[in-house]
Amino acid sequence: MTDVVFYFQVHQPHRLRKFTQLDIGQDAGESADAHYFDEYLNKLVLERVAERCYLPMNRVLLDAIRATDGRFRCSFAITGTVLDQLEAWAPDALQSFVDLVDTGHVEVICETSCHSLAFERGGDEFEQQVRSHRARLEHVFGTRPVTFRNTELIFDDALARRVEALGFEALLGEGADQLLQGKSPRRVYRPSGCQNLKLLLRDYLFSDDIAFRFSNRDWPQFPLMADTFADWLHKATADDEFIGLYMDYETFGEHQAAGTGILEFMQHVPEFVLAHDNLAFATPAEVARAHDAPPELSAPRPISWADAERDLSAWLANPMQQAAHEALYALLPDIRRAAGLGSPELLETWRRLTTSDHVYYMATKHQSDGDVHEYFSPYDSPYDAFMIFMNVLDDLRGRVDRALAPATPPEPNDPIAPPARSGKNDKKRAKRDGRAAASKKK
Amino acid sequence: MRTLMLGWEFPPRQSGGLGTACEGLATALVGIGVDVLFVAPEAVEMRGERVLAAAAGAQKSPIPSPHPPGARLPDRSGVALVREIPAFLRTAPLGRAPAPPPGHAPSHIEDARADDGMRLLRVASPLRPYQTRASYAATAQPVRATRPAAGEAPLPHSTPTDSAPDLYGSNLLAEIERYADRVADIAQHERFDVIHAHDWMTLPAALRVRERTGAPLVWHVHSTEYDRQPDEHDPAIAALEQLGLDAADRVVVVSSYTAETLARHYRVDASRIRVVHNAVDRSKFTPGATHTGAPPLVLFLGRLTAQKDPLTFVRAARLVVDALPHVRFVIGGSGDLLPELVAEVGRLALDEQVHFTGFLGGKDVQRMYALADLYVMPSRSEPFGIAALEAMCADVPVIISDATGVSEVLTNALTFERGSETALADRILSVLKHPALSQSLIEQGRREVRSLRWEVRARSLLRIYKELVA
Repeated sequence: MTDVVFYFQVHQPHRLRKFTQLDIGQDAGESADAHYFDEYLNKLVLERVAERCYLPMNRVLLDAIRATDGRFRCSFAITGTVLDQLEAWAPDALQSFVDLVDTGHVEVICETSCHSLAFERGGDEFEQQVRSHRARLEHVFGTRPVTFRNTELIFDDALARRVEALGFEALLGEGADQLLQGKSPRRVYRPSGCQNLKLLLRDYLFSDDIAFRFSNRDWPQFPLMADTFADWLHKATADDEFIGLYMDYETFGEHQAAGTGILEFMQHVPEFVLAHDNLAFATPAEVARAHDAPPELSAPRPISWADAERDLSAWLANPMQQAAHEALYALLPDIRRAAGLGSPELLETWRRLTTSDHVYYMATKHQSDGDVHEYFSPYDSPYDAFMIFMNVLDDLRGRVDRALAPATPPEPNDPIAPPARSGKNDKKRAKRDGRAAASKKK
Repeated sequence: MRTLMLGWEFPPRQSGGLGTACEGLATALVGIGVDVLFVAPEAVEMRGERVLAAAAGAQKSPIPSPHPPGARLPDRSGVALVREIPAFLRTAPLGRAPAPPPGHAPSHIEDARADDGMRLLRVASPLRPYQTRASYAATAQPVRATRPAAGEAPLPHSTPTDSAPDLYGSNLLAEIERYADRVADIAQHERFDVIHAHDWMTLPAALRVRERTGAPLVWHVHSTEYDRQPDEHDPAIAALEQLGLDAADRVVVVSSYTAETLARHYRVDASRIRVVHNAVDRSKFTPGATHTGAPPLVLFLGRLTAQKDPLTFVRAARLVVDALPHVRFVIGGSGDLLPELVAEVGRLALDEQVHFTGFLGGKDVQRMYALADLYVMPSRSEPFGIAALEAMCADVPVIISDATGVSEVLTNALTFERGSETALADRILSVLKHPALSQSLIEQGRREVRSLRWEVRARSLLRIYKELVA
C-alpha cells in the first residue's frame, strides 16, 4: 500500500507600500504597521485569493472528505502572516479552514510564524517564531502540530536537528536530485544527526504535474485528467512508501485559473486514486508514525523547492539580498531590547519584515525563473523591492532608537543624540518644503 | 545592397546621440555586407560656440590629411573621405586639420578613415544637429561676416568672408532646401538601392534624391519636434516631419515610445512604421573605472534644454544634499537653459555642490564616467537615450526618467516619474546609501548591455531594406 500525501502551502506576505527615502522618519504618529504595509493591496489580494481559491477549494476538499468517509485526507501549512490577513479580511475563509481541520482528517503543519529565513541565523529567533506559531495554530485549530515544514521547504541536517529539538515528529523537504543522488523520494528517511525525526520528501515530478504543468498547453500530456493522474500514481508505486504531493494552495484557482479546470481535476482525484487497491491517502504524521527506523539521509547543504537550483539562491544570492538580510537581522538585538522596554509591537513589525518574500522580490536571476519571481512581485523591479525594503528598515531603526532613547538619556551637549537630531531635521525639512513650494509656483 | 545614408553628423564631429547612432548603424551595416555612402553636412565652426572637438582634442586633428587637396584616393577597400570646403571657410576651426594655404583653389581634401569599408561625404553647410530656426539665425549670421572677435587671435590662413554672404541659406529652412539641391546633385553620380535619411533636417534632401532617382526612402526618426521642444513646437519643422511620415516608404523609429509620440501628434500609417532600437558599442568604453573615493559624484550629461530637464536634476540635488551634504553634482553640457540653471543653483544655495563643466565630448566624457558614482538622465521626453547604455558600459549605475525609449530594452536601470525631483532624489539617495544596490546595477547592467549590439540592429535594417528592394 502506498500513501498519497497532499500538503498544501497557504501563504500571503504583508507587502510593503512604495516607501521612499523621503518617507523615512515622517510617520506623524502613525503606527509602524500602518506606515509600512500596503494594506489596500494586501486586502485586495487576499480577498481575491479567498474568493478564487481558499473558499471554493476548501469546499472541494470538504466534499471529498465527506464523500469518501474520511478516506481522503490532506494537510495544510498556514503561515502567521496569512492568518493575520484572513482574520482581518476574510473570516469566512478562515472558518472554512477550521471546518476542514474539524473533520479530523486534515493535519495542520507548523512552520515559522512569518515564513522567514530565521533558521539561517544563529540565536533563538527561529525557535521563537516556531514556538509562537505552534501556539497560535493550536489556538486557532484546536490541535497541536507535530509535523514541521520550513520556509519554502528549505532544510539541511542542522535545521533538522533544531526541528527535532523543538519536539516535532516529522519534517517535510524537497526531493531534490542533488540530495537524493539516485535514491527514491518516495521513502521515509531520518536526517543525519537526528534520533527520531522522519523526513518526508516531495516528489517533484508528480507535484509539478499539478502545480506547474497542468495548464501548460505545450505539455504533451495536456490536458491532464484525474483518472490519468491516478493511473500514473498507481503504476509508479511498486514498493513506494508514500508519494509526497506538496504545492502552493494558491495553485488551485489563482496561479492556475478556475477556467483551466484545476478545481474539477482535484474534485475527482480522490475517487480515482481510491479506486486503485494499492493507493490510499494519509497525512504526513500518519506516514511518519507508520515507518519505524527509516534509513538515514544526509543533507549537508540547504535544499529548497524554489527555482531550478533548489537552493537558497532565490533569496540570498545577489548583493542586495545579502545586504537586506544582514541589515534586517543586525536590527534584532535592539528590536528585542525595545520590545522589552515596552514596545513589543516593534518586534511584531520586524517579524513581518523577515518574511522571505521580501528578499525573493529582489532576485535578479535572468533564467526562466525570473518570470516566476516577477509573477509574484508587487514591485516594478528587484531594485524597487530593495530600495523600499531598505527605506522601511531605516525608518524602523529610527523608531527603535526613539524607543531606546529614554533608557540611555543623551548627554546634554551631544549633538548627535536622537532628540537633538530630529529637531534639526525638522527645521531642515521646513526649509526644504518652503523651497519646494516656491519652485512649484514658478 | 547599397544605401545612401543622409545624416546630420558623423563622428568624430558629434554633439549628441544622433551621431553615435549613425556611426553605430552605418558601421554595423558595412559589417554585414551593405555598401554605405554616408552624406552629412560639414559642421562648420561658428563664432560664439565651441564645438566638442575644442575640448576633446584641440591638439590633434581628428581627420588627418596626408594627401594634397584636389587629389582623390584610389578606392582601396572602398574607403574614401571627401570634404568640400568653400573658399571663405578655408580657415581651420579649432581641432581640425589646417586648410590649404590662401590663394590655393579650394576643392576637396581627401582623408583616409579607419578602413571600415564606408564612404563618408561631408557637404559644406552650416547645418548643425539640434538646431532650431532661432539658433540658426543666431549662429549662421556671424559666420557670413566672420572676423576674429576682440582679443581672439586670428586663425592661421584666415580669409575674409564678407565676399560670400549668399553661400548659405538666409534662414534654416532655406539652408535645408539649398542643402537638398546640393545632395541631390552629388547623388546623381552615385549608385544605391535605398535612401536612408535620419530625422527632419535631411528629409528634403532625401525627397529630392528620391524624386531624381526613384530609389525607395527609409526615414529614420531619432526624435520628433515634440520631444525636442516640449513647450513650444516649431510648426514648420513639425510640418516637415509630417511630410516625412506621409512620403517615406518605411518609417524607422528608435523605440515604441517614439512610435507612440508619432501617433499622438501626427497622422501616421502604422503599417509603414518599424521599431529598431538603438544599441551601444561597448569597445568605446572602459569598464571598472568607477569612482570609489569620497565625495560621491552624481552626473548629468546632455544639452541643457527643456527636453533634457536639468532643472529637475538640480532640484533633486537640493533634496539629496539635505540628507547627504557631502554629495557633489556635475552638469556636463551646454544649452539655452544654462542661465536659468545657474540662477536655480544659486537660489537653492547649491554653489558648493553643483559644478558646471560646459560641453563635454570624447575623452572628457570617458573621464567623467570614471569619476561618477551615478549617471542621471531626467529627460522629459527621450526617444531613446543611448547615453544611458554608454554609462552602463563604463560601469556607472543609471537612473532614467519614465519617458524614455531606452527603458524598452533596459531592465537594470532605476526609473522615476519625469519631472519629479522628490522621486529622483529618492533613487539617488538609495544608490548612494546602499553599495549593494549600486553593485547589483553595475553587474547586471554589464551583462545586459552585452546583448544590445549594433549588429543586431543592422540586421533589422537590412530586412527593412529588403522589404523595399525586392
